Amino acid sequence: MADLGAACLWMALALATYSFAASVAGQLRGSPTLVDSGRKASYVLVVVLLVSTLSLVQSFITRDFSLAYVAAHSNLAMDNIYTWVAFYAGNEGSLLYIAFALSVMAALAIWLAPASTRPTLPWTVATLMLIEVFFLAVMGFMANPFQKLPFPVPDGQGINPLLTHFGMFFHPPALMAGLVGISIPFAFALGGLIGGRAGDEWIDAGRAWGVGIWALLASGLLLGSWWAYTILGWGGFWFWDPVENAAFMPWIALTAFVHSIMVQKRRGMFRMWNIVLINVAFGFALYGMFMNRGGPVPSVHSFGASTLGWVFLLFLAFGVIVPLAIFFWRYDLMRSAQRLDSMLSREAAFLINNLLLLGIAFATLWGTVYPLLSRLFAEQEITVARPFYDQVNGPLMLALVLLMGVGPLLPWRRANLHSLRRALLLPGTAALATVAVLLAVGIRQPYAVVGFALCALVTASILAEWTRGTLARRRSVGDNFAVGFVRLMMANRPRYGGYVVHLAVVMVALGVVGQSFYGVQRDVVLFPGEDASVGDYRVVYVDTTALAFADRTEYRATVEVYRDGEFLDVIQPQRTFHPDHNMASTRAAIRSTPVEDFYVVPSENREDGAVGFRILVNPLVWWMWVAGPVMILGTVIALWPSRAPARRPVVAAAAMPSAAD
Amino acid sequence: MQLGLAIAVALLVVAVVAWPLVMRRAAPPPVDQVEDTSPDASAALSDVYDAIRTLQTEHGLGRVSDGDYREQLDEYRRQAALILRDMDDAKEIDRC
Repeated sequence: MADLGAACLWMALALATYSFAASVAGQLRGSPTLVDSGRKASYVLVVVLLVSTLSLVQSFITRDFSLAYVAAHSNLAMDNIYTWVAFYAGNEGSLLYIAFALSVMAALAIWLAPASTRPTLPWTVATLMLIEVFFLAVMGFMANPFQKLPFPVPDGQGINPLLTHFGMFFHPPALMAGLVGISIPFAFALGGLIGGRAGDEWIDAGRAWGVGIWALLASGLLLGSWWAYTILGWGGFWFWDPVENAAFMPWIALTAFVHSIMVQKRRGMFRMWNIVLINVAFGFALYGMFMNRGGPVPSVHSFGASTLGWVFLLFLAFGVIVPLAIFFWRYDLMRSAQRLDSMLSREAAFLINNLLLLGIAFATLWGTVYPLLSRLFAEQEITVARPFYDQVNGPLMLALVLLMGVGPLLPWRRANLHSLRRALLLPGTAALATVAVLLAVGIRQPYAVVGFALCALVTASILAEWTRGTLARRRSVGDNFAVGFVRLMMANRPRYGGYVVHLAVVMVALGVVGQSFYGVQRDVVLFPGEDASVGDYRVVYVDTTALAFADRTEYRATVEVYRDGEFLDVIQPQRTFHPDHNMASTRAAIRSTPVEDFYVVPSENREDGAVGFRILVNPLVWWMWVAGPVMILGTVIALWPSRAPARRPVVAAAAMPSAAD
Repeated sequence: MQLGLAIAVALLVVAVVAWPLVMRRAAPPPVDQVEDTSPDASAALSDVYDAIRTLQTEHGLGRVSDGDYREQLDEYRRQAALILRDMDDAKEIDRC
């Protein structure tokens, strides 16, 4: 099937190039048939890339070691379940995955494009297809997954052991699709700009795709954190690694965008700002792909041996400079219809939210590029590590959480201080009560106390909003509480779906604050029968069983866990040695509860029978992983389409209705 | 077999891409001349109704003063009336 896959790859390149050229030429010459042909080419591209993708998957299933890519990322001992992971485990396959994912999203976006975007849709199609052409050309000429070896090898090198984890089925695909998916709202914005319609025409498509892609990226980041937490063996979930940051920055910029676009939708404001934001998000996405593929900083998350860095750097430059030029060309078309009435309003809160988010994104960018700049200009590499991010991003994130609590209580246009004070009474009381309880139980770390208090403020403000809204419905319509709540949610899905997402963010914040300030860690070396204590826990190391497989040897330690003297559980952390890769991987044993995680991972198996263990107690981390499904639920609510309003005949027509009537 | 499948995919591609070029007369009107604005108008109307509902909720909760409420409600109603008028005009054109 490899020849078929290779043929389809070249066909896809020709098709995407044709779609781009036909869309541009059709629009410039006013030829609807050419435009239609270009659009249909973008649809059939999905089929062609699907065949190519299935061909590569089939090559993995049959272990076709005549293909260099299959030989490099699988072997006969590899469990078939990891075929899907092996497919995108290397540069070539992941590029094919990205091209396929983009083609599917592009076809859907073009097919479902709202009528308001139709006049400029050919420019949107051309933008998306140009991005497709880049990925397909890189594959065709520099990183072809169907490249054959001079002669087939009897067995392959095998999949990277770190990738043999459940999280790998979703984390890389979600992140890769999310990063390239930013192209969709970007293409609608750019298409509108090129076509001279840079007002509100593109915002429904931009918002829907922006929110969907935001959720995809957020899921990818959370799953990546979970993967790091369980397999990398250091007990944390976020390292501020350059490649982690490269995925984090576009997500942060997109977070600003999905908030800001609501202001344009509701008030016709921030038109220019939204175009800037989606361009920034797209630029960060390209930067992320550059860092991930041959970027200058090695990372556990990147394709280390890649030589494609310079191509992606060129594409990054192209993807930033060309839209910027178009932005200035169409500058006059982006004037907003409205002005900010008051700094005490919801739109002002959104603006501050945007500034804080961009502050986080650019501080992270600075921390990521600083080592490179220091290497270039100071001839010594100065590494930027967690303390920098904690000091700079920590306060900004706390301010964001505060805004999440206050912003939704502000009405559009202008608020009055009296009503704001009244709305803040309950959330503020909840925050103060939280502070009192924390101080009473001995939690005094200032950042942690502020963090937990802000979490309480946001949660109370959301619950109060829901309760007030539901009670108001009950009074006016007579709904019972449950029905009233559901109808309230359905009445304004973007708003209340957003609240659910805010609750998920609070859950993540709980985990981050808990682990950062109250996590306990101890490294010990134990012989069988010996014990060690960490916090309220005591562990007894029983023994280790070695299990030999064709491609690895697993060392499973048996550990008894006691808390306050009472037996809790027997856990089996694992360390595996992979001779083909000359590396070891670990699998932590985690006893997880909503209060805290008890985490044990073997760091070393010594020849004298002793085992080195890293033991951690991580408070509230459980909430981070629960946040994922809650966030997806909120996104689905926010994106659920509302029914078209029914029209009723009026008895008497007035010249212009008035609220005073 | 692979060659056959490759040819089948290529034929599909050519057929789909060439169809609009061959069937020129059956092609849709130029996209920038399409008058179908009804989905947009419905969405815009839905947005305005959402805005009115939100405003009424916020007024009911005492977050928006009576003066602001009346002013904003007037503006939203005016927007809704304009959209409805456009929708009626579009229907008239269709009937003609």
